[in-house]
Amino acid sequence: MAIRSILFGAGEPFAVPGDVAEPEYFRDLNLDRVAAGVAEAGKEPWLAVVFRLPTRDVDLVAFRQQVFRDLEEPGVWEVAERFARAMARIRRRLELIGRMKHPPQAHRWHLELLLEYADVVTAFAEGLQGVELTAPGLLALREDMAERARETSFLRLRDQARALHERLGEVRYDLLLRRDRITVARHDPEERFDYAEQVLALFARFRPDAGKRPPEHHDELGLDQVEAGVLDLVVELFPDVFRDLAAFFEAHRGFVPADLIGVERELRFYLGYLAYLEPLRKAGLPFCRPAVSATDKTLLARDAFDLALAAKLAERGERVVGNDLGLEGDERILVVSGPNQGGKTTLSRTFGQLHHLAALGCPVPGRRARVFLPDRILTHYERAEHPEALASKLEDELVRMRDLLAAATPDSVVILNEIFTSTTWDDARELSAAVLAALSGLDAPCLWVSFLDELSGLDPKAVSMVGTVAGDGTTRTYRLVRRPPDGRAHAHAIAERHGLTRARIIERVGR
Amino acid sequence: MSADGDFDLHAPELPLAPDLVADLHLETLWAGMARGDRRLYAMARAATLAPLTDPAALAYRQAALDDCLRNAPAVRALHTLADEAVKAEEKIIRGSSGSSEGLLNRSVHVLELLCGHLRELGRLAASSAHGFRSAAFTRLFALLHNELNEKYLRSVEAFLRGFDFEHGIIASARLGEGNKGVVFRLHEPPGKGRPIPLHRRLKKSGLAYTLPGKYEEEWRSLNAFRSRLLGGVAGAVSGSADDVCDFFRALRNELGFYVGCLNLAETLAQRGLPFCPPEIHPSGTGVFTARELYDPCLALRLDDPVTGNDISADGLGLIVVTGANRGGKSTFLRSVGVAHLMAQCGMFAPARGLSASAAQGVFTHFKREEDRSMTSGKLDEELARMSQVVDRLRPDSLVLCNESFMSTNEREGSDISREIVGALGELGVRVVFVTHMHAFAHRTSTETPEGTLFLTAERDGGFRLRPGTPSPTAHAEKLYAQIFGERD
Repeated sequence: MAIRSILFGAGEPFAVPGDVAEPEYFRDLNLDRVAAGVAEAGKEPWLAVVFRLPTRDVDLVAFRQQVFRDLEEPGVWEVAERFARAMARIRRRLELIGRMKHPPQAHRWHLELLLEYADVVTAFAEGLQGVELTAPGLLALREDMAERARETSFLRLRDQARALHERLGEVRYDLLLRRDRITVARHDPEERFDYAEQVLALFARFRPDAGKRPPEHHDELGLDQVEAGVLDLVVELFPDVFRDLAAFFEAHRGFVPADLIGVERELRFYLGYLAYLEPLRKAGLPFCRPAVSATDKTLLARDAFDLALAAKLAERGERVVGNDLGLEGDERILVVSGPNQGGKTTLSRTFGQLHHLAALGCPVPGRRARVFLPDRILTHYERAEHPEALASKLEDELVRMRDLLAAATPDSVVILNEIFTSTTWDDARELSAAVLAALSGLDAPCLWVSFLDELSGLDPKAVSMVGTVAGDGTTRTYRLVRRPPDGRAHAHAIAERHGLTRARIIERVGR
Repeated sequence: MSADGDFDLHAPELPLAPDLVADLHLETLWAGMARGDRRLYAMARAATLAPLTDPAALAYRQAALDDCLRNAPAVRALHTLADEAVKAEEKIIRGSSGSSEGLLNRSVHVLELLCGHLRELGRLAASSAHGFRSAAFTRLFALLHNELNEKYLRSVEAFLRGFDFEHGIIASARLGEGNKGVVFRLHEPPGKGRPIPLHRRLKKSGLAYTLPGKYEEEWRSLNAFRSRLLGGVAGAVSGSADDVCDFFRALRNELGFYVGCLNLAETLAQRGLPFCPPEIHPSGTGVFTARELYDPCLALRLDDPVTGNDISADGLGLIVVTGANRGGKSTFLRSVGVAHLMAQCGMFAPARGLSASAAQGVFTHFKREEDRSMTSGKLDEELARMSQVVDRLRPDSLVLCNESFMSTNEREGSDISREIVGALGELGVRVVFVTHMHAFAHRTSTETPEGTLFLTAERDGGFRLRPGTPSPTAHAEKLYAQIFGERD
């Protein structure tokens, strides 16, 4: 029986999407970086494709969220990660064997890999039995893997391979190398082959940790001409076992079933995303499983942040600032204004990412979240470095805005970032008011970054958010709230900043 | 240098060592110990920057140093011999690639050579052992006498002669991954006489591979194969050669430390300066008493007579030094730091007498000369440095502050200093604080007089500090007048 998918719902066949074009909003929201990061963390380029497929199916989101929740348990994660890593290794090595020219080598590798594969399947099935699971997707996988590991055909294949491997392990031969000639004979158990030990024993008194043997290192695994020549002699020395080895190879060439490769890939979606989050979690950033709905447009997010920015900052050991977002009741439009470089664009990306990530079934950046699953995400960001004149830039913006509004439905999510900056204040105000009225009529959830702070007063569905500054009046906090800011400093305050007050010093040294 | 294991030249240094080195002029000390030998310098540096706190470990070194001071020529001769052995080994070129055979030949050669040095070492030890009584040297001489004696050296030399493999190499092997030959185990090389049965059987075996030998590539493969056969043995022999050489290297390094001490002792003695084996008390006992404590680095730099200070600060966690510029305040501060570092690496102390409890690290916070701007950026820099120190402090650390926090106005500087010094005192950190800030010194003397020793430098005090509470001016005006002439 085939193994069921853990990405597309129980009972579904493996739906492996081909190439899917990247949604237009990916670049604006920096989701292209997140997708690339996840694909890299998961070591599977295909993940970037899955990342482009948000869903409005609340059940599917829940299905994936449950898989994520189980995989966030270290025990479960370990089982899955080990399986995925082992499968990748086997796939890679099988490919290499395909290119090997010397049969006694290729056949032996094939045998090793088959044994490895059998161990991996058994270990995965047992590992899944040994952990507590609640996700229906993983429960189904556990059942399917248990069955796979019990199948007679699987067990028989493994036992055959083991027997053959054991026979090869017993092969032992002696050789004499003199000038350009190597001769080979069956091993003589009467003789002592311990010359190296004799050397070490003689000089043991110079070694602080006496008796420890320096490790033997095998460099490359391929055989060169001479080694292959000697191996051919050994094949002649032990003809039976090598004949059986060749026959086994012919009988079991492609032994890894497609459904297992599928399981590995799908697991990598989850593992890759979790691996991408890992450094951020270590830095203390919160993630949560959002409550989702395809009908209720309420938005709620505590300490949400821009995932792509957080990943970049985490690499430098810096921390991203989280913000609260909310649209309740009839509220639909968040109007964001405030000082430059205060985190407004970041907030707009946070807003967009929340919707996309939630619709993938992924944990989202933030402490708590409730998110609407939109039919599409539409973005309008300023296109940098436009070569044409101002007039045509405004024109271009208006064309894009018209197209955006034409594509939007009441179930879409709209994000506008600093539009109409290329015209006069009055014009911008007028144009913005018109767009605001259109958005309000549309009733789609929207975030709008604008220098026109009075915009939020023009429509009852609009809510204002402002960037804040710290107490000293200069430091940016990157925190945006629904209300305004104060500040000062002297020597003592500087000492305090260095943690050099009496109390802090005692605390620091006492630790 | 220690009862268990060799001295580690790459042991972690004291935290913030660069500041310490610069502030205490430690490079002068090391140069005085090294007399131009860069290895002695490295050893002196490593030992001073990795101070010990365990009185037993220090006693072990002090006893060894005592032996060295009494047997200086023998110790120098042992050091020279160890140095020659290591240099001889370093002269033998190492093979470029990973060829086991090259490695084997080189290692055999090295071992043959070092056998000669071991023999010489044994002779030297036998002739001078009677003058030594420390555990460290007794142990070394016993090792040479019992384990590395002539009988042993002969057996080694006999073994080394068997490494030419004239009649081929016999090995056994198994099949590893990919059926590669692995686990090669070498048989004792077939000798000249009647071949053993295995050798005969192998010679007659019909299963033979002969190298076609048309291309260089094939020869390379054969060499690689031979190399893999010899790999285990070559590894063993080269590992052994390294071990023997490491033995000499460790001997050279550790003796090098004592030779450095001898060099310095000679110089100080010539200058008529006193030095003494310090009495080190366990950390936390708060002991600090010295007679004629001086800064050896200053002594090494100047030919003028050097002034020592008598200090008795047992149980006093804070020493505040005030007074005239160029009155010997900084020199005193350095002498305290250097004396601790010298004493805690097992050396003698630069004083006629010294007892001190072991400091858990020595830290300096000196005014940075190059930047005198009175800006808050400067204060920021000072505080940042102090913060780095605080990060690494432990109770019983020693902190030496030289004109700290004077980059802001005196009131604020005093406030900050009180705050910091107060906290450090409470933590049991010992502080020596050189300052011009009268407000700070005055407040300390009125608020917490009992735990503090106040010293003051006088303009014409001959660089000698005297107990005393601070006077309000730092005599800078006088000094200025002296150097630039009367101000108008």
